[in-house]
Amino acid sequence: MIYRYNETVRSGGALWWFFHRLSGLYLAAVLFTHVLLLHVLMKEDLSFGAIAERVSTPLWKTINISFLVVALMHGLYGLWIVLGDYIHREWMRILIWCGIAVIALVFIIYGALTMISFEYGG
Amino acid sequence: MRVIKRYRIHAGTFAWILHRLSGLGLIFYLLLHIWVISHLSGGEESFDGIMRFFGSPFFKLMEIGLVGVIFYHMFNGLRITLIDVGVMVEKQKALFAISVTVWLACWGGAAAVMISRMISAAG
Repeated sequence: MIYRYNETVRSGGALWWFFHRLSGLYLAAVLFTHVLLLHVLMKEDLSFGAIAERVSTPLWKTINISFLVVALMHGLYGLWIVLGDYIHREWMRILIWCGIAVIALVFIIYGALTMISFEYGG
Repeated sequence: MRVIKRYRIHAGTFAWILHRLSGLGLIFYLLLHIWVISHLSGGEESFDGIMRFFGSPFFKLMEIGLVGVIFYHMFNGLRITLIDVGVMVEKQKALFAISVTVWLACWGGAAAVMISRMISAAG
């Protein structure tokens, strides 16, 4: 089926396009550092004791939550771009857009709660 | 139909397909990652338990693959963004070669570190 521009839920939009590039740049910097420090260069297997002190500080909670939100929105918007290329029935597009939005909300709240509620030591 | 038959998978098309597949893989990994890290809420026992499960050699090898997928998506994404803002449009092929080279170099370096840690942990 030919792509119809007047579909209620479209794949794109300039703002979303711009967000995807901007969040991509943010992730290139933060995710690269994250992968290097926590998946590649650490000396031993990650354990509670190794990360608890850092994760419990307000600064790292803020960094982690911003990372969480940006990564989820970039990833789930990307998922929508891919699915949107193959799904053209309008009610299906609305359903999937809403489904992805729900997944985003649930995981942002779930992940943020993990960070916010975390306490360690005194 | 003739147009479709003449269609060829060029390097750019292949990069586009890989970008989609790697992106799809990464979003599902991210959801899994958020669930794994949520074990912090259960305290030391709960978190170390799940980390021990994912610390097996099988998952260690999968993690090396994961780093390769992340780096691919990252450097190909940067290439796309540069082209989008008009940088090196005239030198697309050189830019493509650079992105692939940087990707493989970073992945190779990371894999070497990760494998040597696996070996020293086992020995």
